[in-house]
Amino acid sequence: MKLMKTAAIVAAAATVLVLSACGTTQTGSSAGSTSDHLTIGVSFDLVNDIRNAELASLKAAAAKQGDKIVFVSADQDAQKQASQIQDLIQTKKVDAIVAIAVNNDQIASSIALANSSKVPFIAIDRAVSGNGKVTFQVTGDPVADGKVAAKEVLDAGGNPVIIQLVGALTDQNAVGRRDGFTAGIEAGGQKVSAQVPTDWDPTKALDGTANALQSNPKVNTIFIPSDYLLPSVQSALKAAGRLKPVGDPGHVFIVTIDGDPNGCKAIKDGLMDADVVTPVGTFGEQAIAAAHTANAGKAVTPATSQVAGFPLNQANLSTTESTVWGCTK
Amino acid sequence: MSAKTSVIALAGRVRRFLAAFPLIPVGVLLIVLFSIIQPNFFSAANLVNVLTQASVLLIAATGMTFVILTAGIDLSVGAMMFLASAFVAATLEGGLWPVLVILLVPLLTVVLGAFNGTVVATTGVPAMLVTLATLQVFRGIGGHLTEQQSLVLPDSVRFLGLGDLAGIPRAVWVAAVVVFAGAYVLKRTRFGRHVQALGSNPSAAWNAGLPVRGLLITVYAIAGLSAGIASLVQVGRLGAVQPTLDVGFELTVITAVVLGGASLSGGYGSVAGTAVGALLLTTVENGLVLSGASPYVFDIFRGAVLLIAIVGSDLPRRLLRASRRKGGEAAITP
Amino acid sequence: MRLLRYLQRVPWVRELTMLPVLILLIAILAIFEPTILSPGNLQNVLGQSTVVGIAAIGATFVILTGGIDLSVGSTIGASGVATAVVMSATGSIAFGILAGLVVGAGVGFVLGSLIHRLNLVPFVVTLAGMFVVLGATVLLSNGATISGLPTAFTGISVVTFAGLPVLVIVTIGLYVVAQLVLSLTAWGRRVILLGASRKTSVISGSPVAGVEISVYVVAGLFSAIAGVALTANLFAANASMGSNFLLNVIGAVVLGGTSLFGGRGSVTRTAIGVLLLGFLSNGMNILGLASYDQVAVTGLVILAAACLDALIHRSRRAA
Repeated sequence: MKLMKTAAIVAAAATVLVLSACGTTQTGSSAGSTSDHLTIGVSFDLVNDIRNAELASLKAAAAKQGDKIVFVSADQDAQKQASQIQDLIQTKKVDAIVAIAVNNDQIASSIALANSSKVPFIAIDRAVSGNGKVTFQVTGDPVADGKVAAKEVLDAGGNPVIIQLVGALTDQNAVGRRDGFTAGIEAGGQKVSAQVPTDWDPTKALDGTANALQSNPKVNTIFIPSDYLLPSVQSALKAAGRLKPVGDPGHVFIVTIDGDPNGCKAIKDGLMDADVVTPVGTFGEQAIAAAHTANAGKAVTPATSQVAGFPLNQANLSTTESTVWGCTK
Repeated sequence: MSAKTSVIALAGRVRRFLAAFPLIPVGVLLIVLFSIIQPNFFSAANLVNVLTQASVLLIAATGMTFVILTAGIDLSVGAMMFLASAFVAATLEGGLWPVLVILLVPLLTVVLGAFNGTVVATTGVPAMLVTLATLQVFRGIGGHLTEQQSLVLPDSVRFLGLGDLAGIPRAVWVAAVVVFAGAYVLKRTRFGRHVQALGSNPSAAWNAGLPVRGLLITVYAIAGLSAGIASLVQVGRLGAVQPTLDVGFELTVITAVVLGGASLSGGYGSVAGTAVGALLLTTVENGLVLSGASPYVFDIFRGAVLLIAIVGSDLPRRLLRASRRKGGEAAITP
Repeated sequence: MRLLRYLQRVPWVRELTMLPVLILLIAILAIFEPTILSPGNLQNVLGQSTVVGIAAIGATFVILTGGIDLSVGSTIGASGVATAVVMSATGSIAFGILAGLVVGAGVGFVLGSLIHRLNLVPFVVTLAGMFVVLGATVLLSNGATISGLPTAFTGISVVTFAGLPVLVIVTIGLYVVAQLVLSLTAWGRRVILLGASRKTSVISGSPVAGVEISVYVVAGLFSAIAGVALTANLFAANASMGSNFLLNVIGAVVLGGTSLFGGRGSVTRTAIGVLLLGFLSNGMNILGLASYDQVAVTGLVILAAACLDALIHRSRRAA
């Protein structure tokens, strides 16, 4: 009885071990498609509206070149992302990796793997740390976006009493947007009255905004670092009876970042003032172009590109709308 | 003489009250503390705030109390609520009547809960594992329905979470109704007494001929029902469905129930206690935000309150056990 | 039904119910996508399973006593951060790893002592532990990711020996040692006895306090080793990097067939559970399933496997 059990375990273990031990020296021989049509592995940190738009922009750019996209998402788990990129490089034998890192430091192991396998590594949206060799990086500029948002507030004039929602403190985009906005506001001689920590959680954003509105009844301006939290803020305002259209004396000035469908709709409906739009279309074009340059054996120059957001507001809605990803969806 | 006896009687009553609600002193202490740090904290407006913010938790935790009383657990409530919200968004997009959607949500979650209960009651797989698995199934389906988008919902389905009734937010009214209904069912009905009997002594319940399987399926269905109602209130309050909605919420719900004096080994627990636990938890969150505490300390505080409350709330039970043992009764500690 | 009864009589099926399921799963995946069986991919699956695998050893011991440790993800983060901080401060790999292990064992000791001395429910204590440990790590590290570790350390994750990544070999070694300890030592027998019947444990004079507390220390240690391995894998550590592991670790243990009620199970079974989840996740990645569909499928597989296991064991008990 014991013998059979042991034999079965040993046999199973041996099969797995032998099979995997055989496959040692075949890394680094990426399929190397001779034609210009590439297979591009795309690994995102998570899936939501803006990620869907970024994926769509990659797909659109890839389709023009006749490339194939293999997409995976890591559910905000750095280890899962490392595994998925490993699967893409070693099993799927992709010609390039385009990634939005779960964590800007912990992506380093995947970059190292891509380098040793001679697969170009392209980072988009979230800047990754310098160690390791990134073929190309195209990101937004969170600090600049925060400053653009601050400028929208200052341009509106008056005496802004500002509350600021803050995303997860471990996310450099959240921290950058916070710092950019705060710096911009202070440079204009104003100040942020209260911060609402949200951890990117819609319920915390709702409750936190409700608390802040109640303890600061004079609040007339809210900065939201991502359209993801816009519905929560609108609900909090609505519950407090303060969701008034633009132009109404009781209107609370709202400025957000991203330019997602909810943000665009709020501006069209006259409920929101400004949205700093992330140019996701540019991400896709530049990333796919870089994949082709690198696969042709050339270096991509410049190796990093920062695309600052542009404001969408009540004044430029009709002229700018067509370039905003959330409006064209 | 009579003064002395009445003092003793009063002391006894206080002791019994504290044994039933050991969290009340902890809560009072916290309220005093937060009021000193932030005077705004202790105001009528903020009281309504806390109640509103506690409403979803109160509702979900009421159903969870039934499950935990039977020594079970439901880790799938958060995912179930996400699935329910996703269902609202998907069916509205499909053109279904808002009223019908609102009616279908509790039906859906009762079925999901009954599914959990049926697997637990008939296969003998531990509830923690069953609901750990269905947590993933529900969240996956919810993600599939919404494709992980943030979907804004119209006011027509936000009835339960938006607006006031007699100056108090509807969410609070709904929570109050659910909590009182839950307490009534548990204390005053035959079904409630059966649930308590099943929790405190499962083998006796079997031997007494109680319909144990049916009871188990029903308590999980109740947890499903309350998750459905909680989800409708939440949809009403948030006005949107988002991919990270209610991730980890099951742990908050279980924490509230345990804070309220329920034992995860079954038998002990009450809806009133759970309500106190849920309010305490929300008070802590609200107080921390209002007093401007660094968000970094939130988790530590939450864990510490849980631990202190568990140790503290177990003391009366321990004393009770000790005094019983002294009284000569055979005490069997589990 | 006859097949079921036949299967129940085969001894290793009873011990390793999930082995046929694992083989079936691999076969199904291989039909859809033959590259699953390529040596390189098998190597990847093993490599990707190391962190969950190591943490699951410790969780197995805890679950064998009828307890549970929900703090595993937070402890992975805490010990990883401790390792990274000490390593980058002292430049010494050994000191770094030692710091991680001390943190893990310390967390385990505190939790185990609270559970045993105050007779508290492990679920609640380790739930509180999960919050406190995560919060404390975030606070002490300022929420930052600590990188810039010695390349000799981060290299561990890519070094291979006899064709296998070193971390895989270490993990297999840990499994062998743990299984031997469980089946051959007095401590191992006491762990199982404690889970099977606390009363018998007390009557038979087993040092219940020592066994129960030590089990959590062991779990903390294995979480710490997993944290060190994860830090090496990712070249950096932060507080929340372990947060997603809880479901997989407990899922792997129970999927392998170790009972959550305690007293029944083994480390070998856990290995099967880990490989099941590893192949499932790898296969779905390669097949290109959307992440939310992957989550749902994983849940269904865990549910189906658990029901199958319960069915086989229950009808055996009834027979």
